[in-house]
Amino acid sequence: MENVLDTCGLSCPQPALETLNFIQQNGADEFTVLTDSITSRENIIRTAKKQGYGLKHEEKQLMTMYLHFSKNA
Amino acid sequence: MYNFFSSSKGIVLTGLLIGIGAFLLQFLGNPANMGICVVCFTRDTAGGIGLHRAEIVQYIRPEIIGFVLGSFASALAAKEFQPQSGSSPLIRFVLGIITGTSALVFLGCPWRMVLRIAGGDLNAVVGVLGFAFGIFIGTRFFKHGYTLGKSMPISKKAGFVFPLLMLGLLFLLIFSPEKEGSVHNGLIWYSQSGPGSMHAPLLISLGIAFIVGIIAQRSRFCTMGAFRDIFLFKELHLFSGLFALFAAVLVLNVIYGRFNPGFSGQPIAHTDHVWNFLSMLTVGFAAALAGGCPGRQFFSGGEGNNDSVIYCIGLFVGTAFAHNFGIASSAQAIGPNSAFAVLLGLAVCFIIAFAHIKRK
Repeated sequence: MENVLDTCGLSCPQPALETLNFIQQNGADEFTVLTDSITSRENIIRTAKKQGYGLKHEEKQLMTMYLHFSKNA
Repeated sequence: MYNFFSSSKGIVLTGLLIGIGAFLLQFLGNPANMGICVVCFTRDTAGGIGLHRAEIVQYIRPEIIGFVLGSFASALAAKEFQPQSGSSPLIRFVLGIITGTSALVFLGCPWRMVLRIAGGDLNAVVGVLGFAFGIFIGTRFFKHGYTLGKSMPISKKAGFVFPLLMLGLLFLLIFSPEKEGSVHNGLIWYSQSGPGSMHAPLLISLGIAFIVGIIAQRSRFCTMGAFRDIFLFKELHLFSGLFALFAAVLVLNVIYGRFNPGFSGQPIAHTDHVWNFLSMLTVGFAAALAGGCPGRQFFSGGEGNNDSVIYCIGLFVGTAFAHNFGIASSAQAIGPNSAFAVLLGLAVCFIIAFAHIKRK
């Protein structure tokens, strides 16, 4: 899948840092970040928001949270 | 589920409440500028179960127990209890040891560092500069790909072990009470003088810490993250919580005449600027590499993160080492082996950091 970043298993601040790098390198209008850490979830959302991306919707399968971001959502 | 405590208002409220709780604990018997000190209380608890024999710092602190149980209850209630482990546990153990030994050269964890400044102890300002610089060094490694590797989900039961161990400590505290005038009741140790003998009533300490555990779990409050996120993301979210904690205690200290600005004569503090700076630099660096301050590691342990638990066990061992090996400072001066331990800890942090840079 394109525009998907899997940060499962990583601890802070790496998921947020990887999200930042992903946004800066990718520049897509929409992307999805996977995480299994509730702390990282919020850091990822804050980081994406600062870069102009809003959380469009999210779903959870077992322990993995799928965070779907979109520009100006 | 909407989580108020992780909002910008929520994190500030968290800081204010923790500050009020810490002040109350000081007011009700905990040592000065030590309403909450995660490392000092870990050290006292280590002493309480005889891991070291420094008679003035032995008491199973209900605060440590309350932090873990509060966070555990909160994570369970919010369906955020997700046990995991496997991200370089032994490295985290070593980082816990380094944090425990170095923080006792400064005489306080990052929480107490802030409480000390709020009480007017300017030595802690030197400490905070070191702490921030240590975290800054850590963030440079994160920028270059530092990682301790991925953790894996583990069984729910494994996540129950840490809270159960804390219940065990609580059981000891309740059913093996202090023997008047004696440091040892035949099973566990109770300081009869010094910081370990100064404590708020058990149930109040436990209750306040339980609440702190809940709100810290909800808000993800972290003193190391407060600085790290500024350096990495120019993000003030966690810092605003830490600043609120400071402001709350400062205001209460001023109102109740407990604000005494200066360097000398500060409670449980020394004036050795070089080692106040370097010890907290090492604490900041180690905490950054481990992904959380000592407080956060206990909360995260309560949430089921066994890697954090290993760090906490490292803290117990490190604080015991600090007193067994002449590393811990006294209010007069640093210990005979303080300098060596801080520099060794710093060197080990650099080795860990360089060794875990993963190039993509």
